[in-house]
Amino acid sequence: MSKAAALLAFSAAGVWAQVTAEFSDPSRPGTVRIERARGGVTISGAAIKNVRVLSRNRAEEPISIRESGNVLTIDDNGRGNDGDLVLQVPFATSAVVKTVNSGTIRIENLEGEIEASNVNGHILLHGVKGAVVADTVNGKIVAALERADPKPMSFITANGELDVTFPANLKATLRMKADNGDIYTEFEVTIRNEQSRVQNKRGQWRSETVTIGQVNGGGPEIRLQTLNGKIYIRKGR
Amino acid sequence: MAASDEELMAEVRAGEVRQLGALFDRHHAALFRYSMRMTGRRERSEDLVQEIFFRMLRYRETYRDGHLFVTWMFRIARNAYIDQARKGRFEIVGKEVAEPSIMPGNEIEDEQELALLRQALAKLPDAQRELLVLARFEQMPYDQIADLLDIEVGTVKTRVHRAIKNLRDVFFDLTGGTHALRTSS
Amino acid sequence: MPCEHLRDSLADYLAGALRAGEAKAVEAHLAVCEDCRSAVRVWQRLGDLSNLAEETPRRAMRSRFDEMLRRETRPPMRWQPWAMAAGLLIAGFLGGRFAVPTPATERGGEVAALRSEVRNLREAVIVSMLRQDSATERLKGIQTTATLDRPDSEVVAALIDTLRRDRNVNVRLAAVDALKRFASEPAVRRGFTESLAAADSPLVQIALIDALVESRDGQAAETLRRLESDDSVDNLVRQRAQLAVERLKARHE
Repeated sequence: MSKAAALLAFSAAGVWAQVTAEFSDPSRPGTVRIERARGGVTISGAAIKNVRVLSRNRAEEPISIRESGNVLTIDDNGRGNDGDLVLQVPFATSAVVKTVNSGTIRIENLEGEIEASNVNGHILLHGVKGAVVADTVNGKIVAALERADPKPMSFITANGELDVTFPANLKATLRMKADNGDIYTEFEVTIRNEQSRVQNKRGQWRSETVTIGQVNGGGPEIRLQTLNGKIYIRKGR
Repeated sequence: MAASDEELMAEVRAGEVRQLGALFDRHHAALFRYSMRMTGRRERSEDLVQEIFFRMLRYRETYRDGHLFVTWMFRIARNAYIDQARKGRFEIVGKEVAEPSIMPGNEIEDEQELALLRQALAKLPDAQRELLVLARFEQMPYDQIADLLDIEVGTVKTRVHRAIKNLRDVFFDLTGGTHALRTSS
Repeated sequence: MPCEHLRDSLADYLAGALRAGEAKAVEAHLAVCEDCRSAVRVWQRLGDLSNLAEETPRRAMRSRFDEMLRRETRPPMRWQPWAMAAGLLIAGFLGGRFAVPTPATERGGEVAALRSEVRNLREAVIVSMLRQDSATERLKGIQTTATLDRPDSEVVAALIDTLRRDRNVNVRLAAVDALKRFASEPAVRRGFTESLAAADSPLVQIALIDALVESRDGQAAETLRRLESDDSVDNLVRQRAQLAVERLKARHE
């Protein structure tokens, strides 16, 4: 695909339509940016050079795909529908995904950075290796990170739980806040801030304000925050 | 004094896109009413209003000085509706609501009468329904409608006349032809 | 007058665009023509239909519009040429750590000048980090501001700009926390209030409400009250706003 904008009109209802898009420099890791007003997005890493875009739209829907400077932008121009958009991308790709309604964001087996924003829907990340910045309003975030990228990260939702698994060798400063819920962790966390009222009973905290704690001596800050929901911080391998 | 629609739109075109927010506050309700009557569905109407403002922003360069903002806005609204309708995404509620059973001679309640009138409106051809929505709901003067639809003022009047009588006939069909309309309060 | 000839004037009559004399002529026809009379009644009832409350749009439409506007108008984020140079110079210096070593002893003006230069350079790096395309880089920029005890106004202004315009909710939320330290500055409190009026994320809204209460900003009361009475706003946020109004009032009495 050239740098010029391409317009795809996906055809009949219920049928998968597929198109292949190329990064201008496949030798370097690229970025996919997806912006939808509606509908889910699934991205999985694969041993491929190009990007495969599959769409299962219920109605005809023009989606524009542009490529510039190794950034592939897929945009539904604020329209969108309930169909899922499915992408297969090279492992090293970074992803910036945004949707608003009626859809879950799923990302798996990706080595690049991930920025995922939803409003009414979940965010599910599995087998990812890059730094994660994720937010939703009504939905949960479940993330399993395979590598502790030493960079700031952030996981926030308003109504839903956070369930995040980090590798055992994580070095980070956790900034945790669950206004109406408990926080559970399998890590040894050294609580640093004095002003928060923290009850520590069998690995469980209830935080009225923010709780800041260090894991393995501390490091870049990782924010974990929800208004209504519990927070689970699990220790992976 | 508050800036006119035309002044605000000129600012939007010049890059002060935040001013579109003021135009949204002023006109989104009217566009929503228009969309409700054209699509018959709340969710579709909200989508359509969003699309209309998206197009106003994206095509802001096409707004010309000296033109009424409202006419330009409704021109965009019509095109947006036509584009969406062409994709077959809209259904009109009136077409799927069961025919009401009115016994001859029964008194029809005020609300029921308006519900029937809404159904009758939904059964009109798109062009007639649109014309009545603009002329009656939005109270747009005939010369503005003429400008918007790109037809003569006289043609607008003839079509309003025809549309209102057609609406009356469809309404009477729905009520079994026996009901005399209430006088407006 | 036969109905056919009445076409235009009936339409004008309906729109209320006839002069008294012309209107009288139409009314004379209406008195004898049931066909036209019923058309007039349909027109009148159509007016009643347009006044029905169910045609009112929901308030949530405004936040969807704001989101669209933000998406369409966010400035492209790029490295400034000067910032790029500064970034290269200092990249090894900052690395993944967030503390810059300070000399153990003062050795006169030369060292002081050097430190101030480094400080300015570091601030330039922070400002440029806040403009990065990567959200985690922007978070890093915000976290780095915590290592400065008194950042210059450019850094604070860049943080306020991030709070107002950053496309990512996580980054805006982090900006609120970082800015709390500087809440004694009126520009920061103004940034809080303005962002609160425009915010759509409940977490950012609550963080801003808490920040305003902590900074005892009495001028925020009106914004808080509007939030409290807006039924399109999340219930928890409205409760928090109500509490905030009371706490601010108690402090100012």
